[in-house]
Amino acid sequence: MTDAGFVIASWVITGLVLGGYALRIALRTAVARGEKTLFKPAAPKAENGVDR
Amino acid sequence: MSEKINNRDDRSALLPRAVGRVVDSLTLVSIGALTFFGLWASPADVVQGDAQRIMYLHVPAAWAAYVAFGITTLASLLWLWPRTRSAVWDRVAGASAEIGLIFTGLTLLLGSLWGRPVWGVWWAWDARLVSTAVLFFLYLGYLAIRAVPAEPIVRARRSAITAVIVFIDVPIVHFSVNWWRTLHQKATVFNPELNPEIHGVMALTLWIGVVAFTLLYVSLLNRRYQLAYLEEGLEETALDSAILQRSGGVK
Repeated sequence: MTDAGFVIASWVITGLVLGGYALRIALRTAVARGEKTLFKPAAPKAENGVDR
Repeated sequence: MSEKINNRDDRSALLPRAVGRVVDSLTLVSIGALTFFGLWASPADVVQGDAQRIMYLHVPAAWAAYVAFGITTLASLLWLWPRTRSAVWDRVAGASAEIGLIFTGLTLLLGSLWGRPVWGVWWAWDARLVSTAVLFFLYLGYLAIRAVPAEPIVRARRSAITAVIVFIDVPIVHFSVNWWRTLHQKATVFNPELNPEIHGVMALTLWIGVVAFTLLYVSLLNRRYQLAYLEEGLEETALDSAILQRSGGVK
């Protein structure tokens, strides 16, 4: 890899690490505020066990 | 035990909303300026060529890690001192340590990327590199201690004491290049003579990097603090609900 390749790689890795971390905080904040959910809640079932 | 953390001066955010937005905007502008100066406006180094441009990320990342761990220590001391004890300082300490860990990991990665073209190796058992790796694992351990379930007051106390102890490695990392013979170059700006060995556009670019990463640290700290506050509230709600269920109540 050339010197320029190492430089570009360093900028890309920095963007991925810091951007990824900022995104992780944003997603966890949205989940904590109840704005987003990571898992869809199971559909409610009727008394006789048949899905509504 | 009736000892409680003072939550009367509790706050859900570190910075007022408007200030947070200004910091976020300045962070984006300064990162844009750093990219422009670091990749285009700044000249290539006479000896190292273009590979030296990695310095504009590597040094600011290391600086941001020092700042983050310094704030963790300060917040921990403020928590340990009874007159200033507050849940706010415990949250600041934890949030800042996590961000510092990210910056330390990034410093190691960028150093490795810089070392390969300049030294010919990805890693060397050098005093600066090893002490920085030790720093990474010390704060990883600190975060692991924070994650151990306990009463909030117990967790905060053990975390604060740990934070003060592990900070000892920060000056060791910084002065390692002076105390031992190392492959790593000596400090360019904050050297013992306080005589910067970098000038002109290169110095300007490095300072833009330091400002950009400091602003980014403040922005991340503000957001990570808010998240810690929200998650504490969720934990308390879940605990209240579990106690109510166990005691036969319905919720």
